Amino acid sequence: MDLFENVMLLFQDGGWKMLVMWIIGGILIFLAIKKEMEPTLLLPMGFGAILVNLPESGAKDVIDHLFEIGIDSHELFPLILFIGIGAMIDFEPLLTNPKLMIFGAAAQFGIFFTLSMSSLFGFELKDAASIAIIGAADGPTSIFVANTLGSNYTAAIMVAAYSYMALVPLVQPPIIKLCTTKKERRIKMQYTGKKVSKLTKILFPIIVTVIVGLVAPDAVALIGFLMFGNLIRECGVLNSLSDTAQKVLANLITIFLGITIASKMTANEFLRFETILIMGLGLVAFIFDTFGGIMIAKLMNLFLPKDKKINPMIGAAGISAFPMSARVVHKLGLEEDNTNFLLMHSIGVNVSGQIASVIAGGLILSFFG
Amino acid sequence: MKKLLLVISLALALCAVLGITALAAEEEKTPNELPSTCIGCEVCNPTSEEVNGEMPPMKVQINGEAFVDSLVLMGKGMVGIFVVTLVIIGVVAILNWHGKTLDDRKNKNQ
Repeated sequence: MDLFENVMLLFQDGGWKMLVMWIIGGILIFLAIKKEMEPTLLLPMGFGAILVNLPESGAKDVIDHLFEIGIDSHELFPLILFIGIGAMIDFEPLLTNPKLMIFGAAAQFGIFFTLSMSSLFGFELKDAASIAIIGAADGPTSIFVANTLGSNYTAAIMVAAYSYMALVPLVQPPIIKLCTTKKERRIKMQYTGKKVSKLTKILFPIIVTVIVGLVAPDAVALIGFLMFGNLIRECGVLNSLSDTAQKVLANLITIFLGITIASKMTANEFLRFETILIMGLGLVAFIFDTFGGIMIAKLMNLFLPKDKKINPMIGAAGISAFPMSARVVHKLGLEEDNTNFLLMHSIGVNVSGQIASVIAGGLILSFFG
Repeated sequence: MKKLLLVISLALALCAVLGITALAAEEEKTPNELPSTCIGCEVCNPTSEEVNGEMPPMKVQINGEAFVDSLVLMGKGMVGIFVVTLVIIGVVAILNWHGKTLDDRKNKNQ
């Protein structure tokens, strides 16, 4: 009888919720494997969701402990992951044309718009801010902000953030097409390919850290770790460390991060009406991020001479989902005109979005922290 | 151009709906009726903290006041991002100019 005791628990009060969580876990695993949507995170999260929702799960304590040391205590995992991400990013396309940073900034509009929408729906401000940061389209920033603010909906926010990042190729094209005309999508932009000095590449991460640290001290850990990773890459004397940060370190932390987030995916915490609302608000954030980036490009075009017009689609790449968003814009450009190569411009905007999203996270933390 | 107008109209309509909702919610708001002996304990005013290990269900309600307050934060946030971004752009421009000057000098010497 003892053998089936746990099986019987599934059919007792609230047991069905565990079964629903298994299905959700299964869907995440399916999306990761079959659709290849952010598999590095959705797969561990999906498996973790099943793991913590087994009756009397013995794994829950271990995963809770991982959460405690890796996320709850000083957000260690997302920060270390940022070293790896920093080491992966090449800021050269941005440094050759620093004006592109404007689009990264404008594309954070969705974050603040969603903050207002979440407040309107009655979420507490700390939860509204945590939900809004889904619009950063940046997993570690979302985890960092939600956890620092002590949000009650960390798991739902994580799932929404990573799901929409994976869904960028589906979410962005209709919004881009709705906000731009065919003529605008055909605008060609010259890539000058100017050379950036090594000194600039080395000073850039240091200076950005200092500037952001002075304006939004709460974000200094995020931007600092990101830029530290980038400095390792650009300094030219730490190639093996850069290689390790990009591959081994990033992979290792990603494995732990995915399964650790599952600690918050227990049926009682996850199966709530608010989760659906958060998923909806996350979508709103992505839509208005895209909208903000495109609109600033259109605004700039009003003042630019005819031969210097900007293809407004590149504004949409400011949402930081790196590098999916840049690829989406490039692909849309080619769809309209197969000689229109926007990749370098959109990559520049995309990496600027990475910086801007961290600044937005820091500002949110300074407002509510 | 038509599409742009459509998008702007939609955005304006959305803002109008949100604004009207916010105003309506504010008008409907009634002051909390608490007994005069209330000392602000958590008996009739529970916080969002967990109760018996479970989160209390959130009441989804339109909160116009919070929405209006958050608009100020939206403005502050966007201005903040743009200011920091412009500072970074300025610094990068100076670095690029400096790098170019150094290159020019090198070329001249050669």
